[in-house]
Amino acid sequence: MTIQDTQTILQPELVNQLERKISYLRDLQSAIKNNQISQVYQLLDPHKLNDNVKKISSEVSMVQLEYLIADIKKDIAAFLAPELINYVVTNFNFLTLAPVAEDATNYNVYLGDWWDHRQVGTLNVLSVMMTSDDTIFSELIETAKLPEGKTINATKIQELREVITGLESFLADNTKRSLELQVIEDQLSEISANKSGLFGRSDKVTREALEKKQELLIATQKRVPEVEEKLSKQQEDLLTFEKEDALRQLELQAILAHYVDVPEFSAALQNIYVSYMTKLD
Amino acid sequence: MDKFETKLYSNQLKADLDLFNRWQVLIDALSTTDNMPELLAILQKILAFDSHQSKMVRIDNEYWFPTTHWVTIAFAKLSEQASLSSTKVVLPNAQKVAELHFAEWPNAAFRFMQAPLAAGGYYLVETAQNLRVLYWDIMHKRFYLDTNQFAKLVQTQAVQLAGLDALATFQKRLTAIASQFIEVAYDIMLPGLDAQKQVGLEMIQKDLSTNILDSLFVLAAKQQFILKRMTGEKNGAIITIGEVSLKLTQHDINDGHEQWTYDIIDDNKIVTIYTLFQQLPFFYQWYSDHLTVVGLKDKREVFVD
Repeated sequence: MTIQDTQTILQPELVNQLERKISYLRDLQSAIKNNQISQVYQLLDPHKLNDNVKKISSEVSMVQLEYLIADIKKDIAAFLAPELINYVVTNFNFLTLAPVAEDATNYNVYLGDWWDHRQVGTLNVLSVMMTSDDTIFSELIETAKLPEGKTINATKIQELREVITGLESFLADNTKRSLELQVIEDQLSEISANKSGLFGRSDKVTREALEKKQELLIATQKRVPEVEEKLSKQQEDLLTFEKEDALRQLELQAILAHYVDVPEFSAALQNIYVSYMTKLD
Repeated sequence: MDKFETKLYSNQLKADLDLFNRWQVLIDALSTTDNMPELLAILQKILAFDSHQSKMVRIDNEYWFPTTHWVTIAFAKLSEQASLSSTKVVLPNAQKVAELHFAEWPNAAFRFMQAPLAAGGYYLVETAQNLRVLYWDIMHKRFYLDTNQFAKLVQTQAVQLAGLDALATFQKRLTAIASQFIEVAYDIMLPGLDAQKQVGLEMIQKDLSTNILDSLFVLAAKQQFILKRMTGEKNGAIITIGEVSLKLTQHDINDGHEQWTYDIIDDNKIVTIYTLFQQLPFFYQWYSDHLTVVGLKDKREVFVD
């Protein structure tokens, strides 16, 4: 077989392949031009749409050609994002979304719009898939099971408060200790001045007792900076635990205002692709 | 008078009587004038009056009042002119220091006391809790609010019981007095008192730590209020209380630091930061917990304990 014969045999297949690519790009161009969002998603991942939404088997031969658009994915994401974000914030109005820096295809998803709200996951605009933070969901499920007024950190908070009260009381007693020391110093000076007095032996016993008390008080006073530091650390820990509890309470309140329970909300997030495509149709 | 000399005696007595005659004229003028600049000028002369210039005549009886008495009388006149709510001067039994009673706060009494400052001046103090409201320096024309102690005062039972309208009336009273003082070139600093000026109330310290805002978030959440991150051009945090918003706004300043302010947004221009201190216990708790950082910037140097 000559080179020409080989070319003649391969030519139709090659032309077909090129035709499929051109057709794919033309379809995508047309979908974008006509603002057919659902069609764009269909072209980005036909298997996913057919399997999940249309419940029909995709043709095995249907080759995904999305690699053809690898270099313009960011632009396609920018095109798709407004509609999707609008859908999410309308249907999950207690979620807030913020684009991931220098990544047009992903949005960080936060629970609530309050101070230091927690990120619950990341939404991919092209796949309409959300990755979720399992720890947050576990914590929320645990919180929901607790009796009214109880929190995950309640015990730790109670313990810390007791420690803090003790430390504050130690520091508050410092003025009393200083005065006590002053009195002991005065008494010791008085004994020293009276060393040749009649009661020499009892003075010695008293002096020793006072000196021991003085040593103890000085040693206690030396602990003040260490206690202050510890108090500051414990207060920081208390704030951390209280903040965690406050965040979980707000998150749970927001979720339960819209869903029966946390798993139902989690399922709704996992099902976002299907619900969005259904809405687009 | 080294020697007994009738003419000298007579001259000195006349000089002393003239001196006290001037005193009488001043007191009379103080009681009759309705003109604010004149009132302040008379008060300055009363405060400068030195009875020790009198060599022979001494007045030593229960009517020889300390200077704070005349400051009280003058302030009462200004206060009466500044508000429809009346001001009364009361001299409690067996006391030499007159008290001020403002009609809006029937269960509270106030008095003036001398500030322990080289520059002089007087503090207006609430008597039950000994809480300072303001500093008034008549000689150097200064009128400043003690924001720390006034915030504490609005928490007291007497003031809480009187309610929000009473607080508003008292704030308007002081604001109106300050407006009169501005006309005679006074230096005024009454942060947060005027309901019309509730934006840009500066905090004492720059660069607020995240911990401090976290702590406000936690205290607010316990009372079912939500601290939110501010959206828009400015950074900061916001709490919405009905139709009123309390904003903690961050401003970049030239020295590389950030100045934080309180902005109270109330379309009706009724609510002040002190209204919020009174109505939102969590906000006052947070404010007093972090007073050295988030306290309102005032003329702290004149408030000496």
